[in-house]
Amino acid sequence: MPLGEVLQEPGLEEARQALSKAIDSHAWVAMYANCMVEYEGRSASRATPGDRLIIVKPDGSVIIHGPRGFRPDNWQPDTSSITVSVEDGLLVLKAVRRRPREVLIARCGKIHVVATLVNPEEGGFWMYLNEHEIRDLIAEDPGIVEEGLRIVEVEKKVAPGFIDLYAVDREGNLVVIEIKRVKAGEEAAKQLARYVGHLRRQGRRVRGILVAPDATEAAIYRLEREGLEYRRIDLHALYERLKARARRSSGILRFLPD
Amino acid sequence: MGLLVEELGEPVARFRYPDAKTFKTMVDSLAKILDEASFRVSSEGVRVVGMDPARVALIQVEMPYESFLELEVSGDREYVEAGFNMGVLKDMLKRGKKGDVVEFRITDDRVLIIVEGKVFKRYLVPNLEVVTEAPESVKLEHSVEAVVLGDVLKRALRDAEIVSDIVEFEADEDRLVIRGTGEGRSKAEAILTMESTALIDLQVREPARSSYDIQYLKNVVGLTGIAEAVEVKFSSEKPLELVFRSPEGSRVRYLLAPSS
Repeated sequence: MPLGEVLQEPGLEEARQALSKAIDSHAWVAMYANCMVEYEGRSASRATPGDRLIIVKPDGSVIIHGPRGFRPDNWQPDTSSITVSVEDGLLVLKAVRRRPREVLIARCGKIHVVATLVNPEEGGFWMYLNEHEIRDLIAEDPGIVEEGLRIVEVEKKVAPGFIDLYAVDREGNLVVIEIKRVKAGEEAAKQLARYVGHLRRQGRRVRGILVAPDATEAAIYRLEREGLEYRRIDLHALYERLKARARRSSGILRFLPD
Repeated sequence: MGLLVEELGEPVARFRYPDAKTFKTMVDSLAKILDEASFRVSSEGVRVVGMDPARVALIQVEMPYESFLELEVSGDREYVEAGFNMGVLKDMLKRGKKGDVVEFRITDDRVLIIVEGKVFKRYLVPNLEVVTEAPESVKLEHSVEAVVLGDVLKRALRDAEIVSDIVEFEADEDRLVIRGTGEGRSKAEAILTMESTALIDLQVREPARSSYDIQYLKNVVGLTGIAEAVEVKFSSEKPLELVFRSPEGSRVRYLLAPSS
C-alpha cells in the first residue's frame, strides 16, 4: 500500500532528514525548492537560483524541472549515489553517476514542499495492453463499444487493408471498428474513412467507429466530417479485465472448492 | 520499557515466538509471494493466508498456540488482525538469530515488534488493513502424497532449472521423478525410489504427472531451512501442495497451480 507524506516549508535539517530517509527507502520524492543547479559531465551547466521541482524516482533517477516547458532542465537517468546534506546554510542534493562521471548538484536555500511516496504502485497498463489484446477483449464483449453489437469477423481483409473488427449493430448496419491503443490522430480517422468508404461504395449501410483511449481535435473533426463515430475506452478497466481473464485461466482459484 | 511502548498504547493482542530465525524464514517466504499480509491472532494461534498478485499460488502459515512462549488476545475479541508490508517486516526481522525471541504487541493502529537477542531491537509500524481474496480453508484430494528430504527437493529444483523454467513431477507405485525438460531434449531428472533415503514415504492412489513453474517453487524452497522433510502432494494437471512443518509445530502449506 503506498504511503504518502507531505512537509510544507520544512527547515533545512528537517528536509534533509526526510529526503535521506525517503531516498534510502527508494521512495518517490518530489520537492519544490528555490535552488541553484550545477551539472558537470558530458558538458557543464549552471542554473542560477530559482524555484524548481526536483523529482527523485524510486530507481534513483533524478529530474529537475523549471517552471516552463515540458522538458526538464537537468536530469540524471541513473545514479550511483544520491546524498543529501546541509552545508553553509543550503540543502545540498548531490546525484553522482560513476560511469560516465556525471555530477548533478542542487543547492537549495528555501524548501517550499517535500512530498514522498513510499512503495508506489506501478501502473504499467500502457505497456502491457497491445492493440491485439484490446481487439480480443472487445471481440469477447462487444458491449464495451456498444450494446447489441455482434462481431462478425476479426481482422477482416478488405481492399484498403485489414479491418480490426467487423460487426453488425442492432439495426442491421455493418459496423467497422478501428482500434488505437494510444491517442488517435487524424491519420486513424482517415484510415477508418477509407475502410468505410470502400464498403459504402459497394452500396452497404456502414457505420464506422474509432475506438481509442483519447483522440485529437483533428481526428474528431475528421470523423464528424465523414459521418463516423468515436468511442472512448478506458484502458485501465480493460487491463483489469485482461488480468481477471488470466487469473481465471491459470490461477489457483479455479482448482479450489467453492 | 521506553518511548515506543508508551507510544503504542495498550495492546489488544500480543505474542512471543521462541525462535526468531524460524519466524524470519517463514516471513521471508511469505514476502516473496505477498506484498502485504495479515496475521490473524486468536487463542488458537497465528495464521496467515494469501495469494500472490497473479493468483497462481496460495500460501497458508499456521503457528499453533503451543508453538508460542506466550500468546494473549484481548478478552472481548475472537481474533485480532495485524497487517504488514511484507518487505518492511522482512527487513525488520532480517538479523533475527536462532534462539532470539520475537515479540509482537498489536493495537488496532500500530504494531510494536521486539527482537530480543544480544541487542534489544524494537520497531513500531502501522497496522495495515489487508484485504485478501484467499479462502480461509482449502482441502484438496491428491493422487500422490510423498514425503521427501527438503535438501533433495531443493537440489532437484536447482537441477531442473538448469534446463527449463518448468519442473515436472511424476509418480507411479514405487518412484517419484522430479524432472526439467528443456530445448533440444535436454533433461535433468532426479529419480527417488523407496530404496533411497531421500524418499521417506510415497502413497500413490493413481499414477500422476503434472508441471509447475520453477520460479514459484523457488519462493518457498527456503522453508527447507525450518523443515527437514517436505510433504509433496499432486495429481495430474492439478495443483501441487507442499507442506513444511517446523519442530516448534508451525506449518506452512503452499499450493501452486499447474503450468499449462
